[in-house]
Amino acid sequence: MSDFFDNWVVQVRKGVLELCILRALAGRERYGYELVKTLASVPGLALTEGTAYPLLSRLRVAGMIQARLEESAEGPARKYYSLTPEGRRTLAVMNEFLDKLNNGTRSLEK
Amino acid sequence: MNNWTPAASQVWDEYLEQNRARIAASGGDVEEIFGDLRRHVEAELAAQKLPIITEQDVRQALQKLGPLPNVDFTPPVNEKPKPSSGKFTVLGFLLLQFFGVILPFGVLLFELASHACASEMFDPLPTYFHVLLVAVVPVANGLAGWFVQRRKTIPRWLWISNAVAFGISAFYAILFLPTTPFALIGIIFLGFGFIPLAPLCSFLCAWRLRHLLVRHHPESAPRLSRPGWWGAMAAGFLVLSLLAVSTILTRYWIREAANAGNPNPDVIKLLRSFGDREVLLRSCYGQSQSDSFDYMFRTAQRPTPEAVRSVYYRVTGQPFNSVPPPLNKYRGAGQAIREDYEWDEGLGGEAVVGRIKHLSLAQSRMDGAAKPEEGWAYLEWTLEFKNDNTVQAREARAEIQLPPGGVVSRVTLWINGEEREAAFGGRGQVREAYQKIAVQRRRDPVLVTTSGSDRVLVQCFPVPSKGGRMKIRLGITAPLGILGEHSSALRLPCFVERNFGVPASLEHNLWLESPTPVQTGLCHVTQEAIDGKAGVHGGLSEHELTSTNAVLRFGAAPVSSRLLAADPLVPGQFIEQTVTAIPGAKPSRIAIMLDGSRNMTPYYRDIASFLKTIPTATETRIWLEQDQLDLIYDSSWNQVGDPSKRVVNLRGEGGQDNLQGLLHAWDWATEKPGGIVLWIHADQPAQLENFLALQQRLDWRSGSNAPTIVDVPVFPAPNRITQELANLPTVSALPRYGTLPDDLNRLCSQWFGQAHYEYARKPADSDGMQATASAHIVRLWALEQSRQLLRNHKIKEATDCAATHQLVTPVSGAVVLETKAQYDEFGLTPADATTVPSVPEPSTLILGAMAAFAFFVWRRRHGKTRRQALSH
Repeated sequence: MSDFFDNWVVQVRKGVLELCILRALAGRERYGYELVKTLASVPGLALTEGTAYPLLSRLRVAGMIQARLEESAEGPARKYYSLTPEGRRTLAVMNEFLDKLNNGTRSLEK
Repeated sequence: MNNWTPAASQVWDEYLEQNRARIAASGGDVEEIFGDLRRHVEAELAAQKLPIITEQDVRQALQKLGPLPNVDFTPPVNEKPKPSSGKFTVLGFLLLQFFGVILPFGVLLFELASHACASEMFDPLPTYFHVLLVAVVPVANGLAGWFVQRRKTIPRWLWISNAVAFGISAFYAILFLPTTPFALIGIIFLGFGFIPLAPLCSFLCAWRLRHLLVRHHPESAPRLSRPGWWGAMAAGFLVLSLLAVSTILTRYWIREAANAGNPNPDVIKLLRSFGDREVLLRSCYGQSQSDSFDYMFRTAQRPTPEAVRSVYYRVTGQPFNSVPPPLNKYRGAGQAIREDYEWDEGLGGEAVVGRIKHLSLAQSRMDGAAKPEEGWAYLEWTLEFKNDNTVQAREARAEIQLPPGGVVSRVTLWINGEEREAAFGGRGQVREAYQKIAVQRRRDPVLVTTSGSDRVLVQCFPVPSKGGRMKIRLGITAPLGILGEHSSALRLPCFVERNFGVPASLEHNLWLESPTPVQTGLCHVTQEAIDGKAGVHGGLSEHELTSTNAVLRFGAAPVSSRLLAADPLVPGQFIEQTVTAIPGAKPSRIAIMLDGSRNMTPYYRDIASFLKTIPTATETRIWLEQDQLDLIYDSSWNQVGDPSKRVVNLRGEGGQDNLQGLLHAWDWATEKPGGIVLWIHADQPAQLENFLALQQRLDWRSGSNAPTIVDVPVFPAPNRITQELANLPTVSALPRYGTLPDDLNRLCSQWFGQAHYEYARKPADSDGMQATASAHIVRLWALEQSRQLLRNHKIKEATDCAATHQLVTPVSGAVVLETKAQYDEFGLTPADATTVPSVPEPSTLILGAMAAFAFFVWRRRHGKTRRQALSH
């Protein structure tokens, strides 16, 4: 069972990683290091820091998020990420879809 | 990464290379992801506050990073991935390359080679700096495209170059905006017209490339912050705008100054301080199409070149034709062709006008003889002109300053190697002949007429093209200036104004002989005395010929002589010459008019030292014309002191019109009989104000009580004012036989005590006296006689006297035509070769030749008779 469950978890994580990133940026912009650390601390997500950056790049190329570089006195330059308008719309649609899916799957148990 | 060890950096680089393929397969931007990973690792290491980052530290950080994703980013089935809006397609790249790089670069090269725009509209590349700026655009666009295509990290300088290219192309896009509709029509209907659109295309491409750079490399876009990018763009735009502003303002000030009857002195000062001299000089030649923006604001008020030339003089203090004509108006392949076809606006006219390219003086020699005991010198100045124009024959024109009191008494032209003597006739008569034969029929004449006091205008046309040459000779008879009982001097003739160039290496070869010793201050001239004959010979540069050193001094003067000369052209007439000592005449008032032009600056000290020699009791006023007329000294002012102090530290500015000052000076001097107006000036190449006011005064007051205007040029230069005043008895030029202080002091000495010598020539009976003096004395008398008749309004008698004696005077001229038929057509007769003067004297030469010929003939006849006798 554990193998079956592990495989299923892997597939679920694959599906929600982008959603998690969009949700993390919904409230405010964050710089990359902070965002990755936050995502890495989400229980069950098991996101490695090395995995996060390719995802972020993919989302930026898709136009869901935008980035800007800002010099920092405390260390290397910080790259700040935020949602684009397209990203917000997509997040809303994804949230709606996920809610529907969740409600739908729960209704299957009745 | 400054504190990373080399081993640490190597570990990082290896990590990137090992994972490049995996990252590329993740669907993200490889360089962006690597950049993010680097920043993450640096942030991790920075949190540990390690002074040095070692290999081990990097490995630990990478381990903490965790594995990179092994994610398949496969697009859904039956659904093609939508291209990113920032993706750089092949077609887009090619279009950007063509319109952003190839087109502007090609147009730049085309304009440099042909200057099509410069010749038809305006010059978009007036300087090499403009060329450099325009070249930045295709280079910057090309580099930006390459970086986007290669997905390289964008360096800061690329952002700056993109911004500058954007600004430069924006400037030219605005400049060519009025032509855009026509270009579009040309493209649509004719298939061409991209050239005027090149700036607009470059501008749009630069903007698109900026957009692509930001989209593809957002992490490096903030390296040049938004204000910084716009600042660099503005810098590119403003540099060109500032360069154009100078031209625009100069054009505006030129219009203001040239179209006003009396230009505002403030406008002249602005032109002096900030005006573009190149633009001003081009406008003197009517080249007004060469400036950016000017073609957009053309109005009907464009000033004429003549008006602009006056402005040029006021601004610079130089005649416009004293500097080489503007270069490179037509550059590239069309230059030679266009320059060869440039029209000579002064052809056949009565002024020298502008310099003609490719026309030059090829050779010059001056041969002369002087006889101080008789008080004359005769010079023959041979000039050879050369024309390197490939198409057009040209007219060589020059105004020549003669020695004081001199006259042109011979003109010769070489035609096919043969010498042809000029015909002397009425001034209008010879000019008509010249214009019809030379200008209209393009044959070979020379014309010499007077152009003011002691000045002549020489014109010869056509000087053949393709290196063709034309050779002429002027014979000049001149009285020697008597400086003392045993001292006389001769000022050599020189060019005052010319439309041809004189190469720096050219020398005027001088050779003059005299029975008495000759001295000179010329550097490269040898003085010698051999077998009772003295002389000088050597080469003079053009500069030396116009300097105060171009004076020959003789150790004798005809002070106590009564000479009688036979008139070679009027049998039975004899002319007597004596020299009279004239006592000094103290002027009642001295009105000094000082020219405030720039070229006067070196002479103010000399003038100041002269002012000290004027007795303080003499009523004296000094006016200075320097953009406005000021009375700077009046002897009646209390506690004024030394007038020299008012002058010694003066500095000239630009070019000044002295007419107003002359009027004031004359009005004051005329209040008392015996007043003097002393006018000390530099060149006056333009008649700037209304001259009639002065002429009216001189016409009404010409008697013995009228003031005398003493004209004192500080160096030989054009003078349009005295040109109009020539032959008036109340205007005289100060003979220049030395430096300015020497000549002014001599004048002052004559005023206040020292006698000076004057020639007196008149017809006389021989009274049994042998007429042994030279015919030159007769010529000098004829000159005076002709002038006197002219003053008495006896024009015909004056013309007849001058023409009979073969002299160029205010009423007569000399013209050389090609054939007898041409002479007959205009009622002229060329001078007989036996009656023209030469070096040595013709009587000696012809006597010798006749004697030799007679001996030859006698020998042949005698020999034949003997042979016949012997044969019988």
